[in-house]
Amino acid sequence: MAYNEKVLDHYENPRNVGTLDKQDANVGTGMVGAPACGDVMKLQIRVNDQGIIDDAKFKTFGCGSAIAASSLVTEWVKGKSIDEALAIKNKEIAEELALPPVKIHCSVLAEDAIKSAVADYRSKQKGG
Amino acid sequence: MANVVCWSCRGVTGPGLFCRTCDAILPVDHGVDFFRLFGLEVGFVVDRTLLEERYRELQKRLHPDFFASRGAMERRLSLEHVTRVNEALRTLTHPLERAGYLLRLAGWQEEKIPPDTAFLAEVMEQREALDEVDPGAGDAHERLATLRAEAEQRARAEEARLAEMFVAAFGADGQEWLPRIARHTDRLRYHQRFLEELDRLEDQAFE
Repeated sequence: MAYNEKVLDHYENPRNVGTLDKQDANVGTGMVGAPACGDVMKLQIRVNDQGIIDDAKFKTFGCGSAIAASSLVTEWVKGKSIDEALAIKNKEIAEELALPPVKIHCSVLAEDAIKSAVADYRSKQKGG
Repeated sequence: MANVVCWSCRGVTGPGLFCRTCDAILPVDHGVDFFRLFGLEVGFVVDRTLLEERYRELQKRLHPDFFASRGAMERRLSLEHVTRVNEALRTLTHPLERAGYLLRLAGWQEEKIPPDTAFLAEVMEQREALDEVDPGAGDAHERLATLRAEAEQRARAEEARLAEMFVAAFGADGQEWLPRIARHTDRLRYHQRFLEELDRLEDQAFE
């Protein structure tokens, strides 16, 4: 498959690959998977006292589009409030990366990862 | 199964591969599932020896080589039959494909069930461990072998679970089992993808 330039760029130079401390109360960990292709994506966000996401890391095992989509969202969520991050839609991700129809599910996965990370962060805040 | 009119002799014939009157090869009957095609019981556990034996028997009766001197219709039908027989063999041989096929037979509409987080965390851990193996390092083979053994064990355990669940699914209240089976089929797919990734890395390590 011929990948779009932006996908290739994120694939070859992925931003923010890594891990944040899962135990940190200010870190939300999102874990999502696409059973149809066996992809698995982990997205972590760290939220500061002002409620702004000041760091984001990801680890994705899957196709180039899945890696690019998660790399892109780590860039996009940084500096945003939680609500702003939640407003990111898979359509924007797919458009930015010019994903073909068969790869749209990768952008859906990335959107779900943001929601999953926020849900984890919120449940931690409530619990602590 | 309803009787059909033979395209060749116009006589009425029962279901089957060949016309009972003129012995002409009949069109493929897609109502016959892959298990029945091979004369096997419907279920997740398949006798591989019997499967391959039945496959060879079917090939002996249907293969296009035997129809080379026949008319265009017979040649086409023979090809359609062996194409389906090959697809059936492939489907019934591989556990993952077999599970997917059985789910469809049982009427499962491929609904999406998000995998549970605990399982995904396990998959992530496995993937990270694989990611940390340097194919060029001296201990690469040993580490890959350990990861393979673990992954294969998980896959076999999943298959054993699926076998039990499919028995229940084809019994009373079977429909209730389908979402659980679908979930475990998804798990098996993760294990298989992991093993494929491992194959790829092993190839690199051996270069």
